[in-house]
Amino acid sequence: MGFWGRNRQAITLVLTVFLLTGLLSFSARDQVGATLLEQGIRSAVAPLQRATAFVVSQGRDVGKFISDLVSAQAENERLKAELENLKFQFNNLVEASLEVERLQILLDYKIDQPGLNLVMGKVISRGLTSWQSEIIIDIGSLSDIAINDPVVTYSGAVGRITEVSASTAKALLITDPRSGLAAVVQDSRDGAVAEGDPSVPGMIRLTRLPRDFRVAVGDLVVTSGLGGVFPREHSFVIGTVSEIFISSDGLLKYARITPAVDFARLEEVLVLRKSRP
Amino acid sequence: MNRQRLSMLTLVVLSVVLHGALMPYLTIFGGRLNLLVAVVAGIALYYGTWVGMLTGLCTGLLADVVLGHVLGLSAVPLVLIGFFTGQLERRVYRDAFLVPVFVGLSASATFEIVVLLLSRLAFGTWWRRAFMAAAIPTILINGAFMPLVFWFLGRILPRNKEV
Repeated sequence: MGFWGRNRQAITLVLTVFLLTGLLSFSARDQVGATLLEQGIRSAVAPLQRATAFVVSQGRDVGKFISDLVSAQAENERLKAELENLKFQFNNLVEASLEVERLQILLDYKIDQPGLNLVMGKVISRGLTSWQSEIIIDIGSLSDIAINDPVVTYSGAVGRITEVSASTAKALLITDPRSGLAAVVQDSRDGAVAEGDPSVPGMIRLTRLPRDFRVAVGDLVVTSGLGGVFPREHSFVIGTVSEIFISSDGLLKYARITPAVDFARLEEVLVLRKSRP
Repeated sequence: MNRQRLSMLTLVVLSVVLHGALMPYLTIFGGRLNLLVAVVAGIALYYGTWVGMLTGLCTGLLADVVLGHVLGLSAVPLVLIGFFTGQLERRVYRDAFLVPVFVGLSASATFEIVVLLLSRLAFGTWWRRAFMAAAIPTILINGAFMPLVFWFLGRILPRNKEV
């Protein structure tokens, strides 16, 4: 095998590269436009290029659509999270604003009652069951709260303290059937015992009233102070008479009272520290 | 034209068309798979030096006509790639995973460097900064994708070397 036989591939390579480089040099210098052959090749390939470009363009559109969809979804998620965060902040502000309003009212009430030794507590829990009308407040013996201290709001009587710990106290509401509260009809001054109405949770009733007991629908019922829990020198509103019933034997009558305090929305209360400064 | 030559011609034309129409949209870190290099190197690794050089010449000239405006700019590096990759055909076990990776890296590097040098020769301009930005990602991408391209070529190209 001769020189050509042994090296024909390398020689071909060198020649090809040499020719191509010459062609390149010529082609780069002589910018006269495409030759007929080039034009023919380009024309032949052009439909394929157009078809490919169309497919690629459609693919890119679909890709962009999907990408937009994904980014819109991500944006949506981000905005949702931001909205939730803003809602949370807004709710906090509203809550704070409402709390300030309520505290302002309580403070005004406290200022208006200089003779009463009132201390404010927040309701931190409610009774275990819906039929137990009890609340737990965040002040206790450390705030000089004692058993049987009256609990009120600016609207009227709430209940009395039944259990005390160092920093909390449990209060029995006047809507609980176990409670008994000395009451008086404001206009007639007829006295009776007010207790939670077991037949209608959340309502209060005056029980076993004599036939000649002077009470009418719409009358205001207040604390009389006779029971030893609420002070005598200061009356607290219990509620308004909403219904009057006569017993089946016609001897007694009952009055149902709608409480003055909205127990469902009770958030802050005032505890009247009776005997302590 | 037999089926083998037809399939190779189709592959060459498709690689040129896709190289211009599709690949520019598939960039990764500024680099992209050079289909021309991948196809020429793959065929050369499959069929040897002569076929590799011929494929490089045809692919390069077609790419220069269709995609470029200076004849020889792609053809020279692709002929070189066809030659040197074809030399490997009898010397290495091409089905080993690292062989296509090595071929992809070296062929792509050859293409980039030769095109840079020829551009300097043809246009008198150094695209050094553009080269530095795009060449390394392109070389790495070619190295990474070459086993896939080689596997694909193995599936579609006939095993008979009588091309």
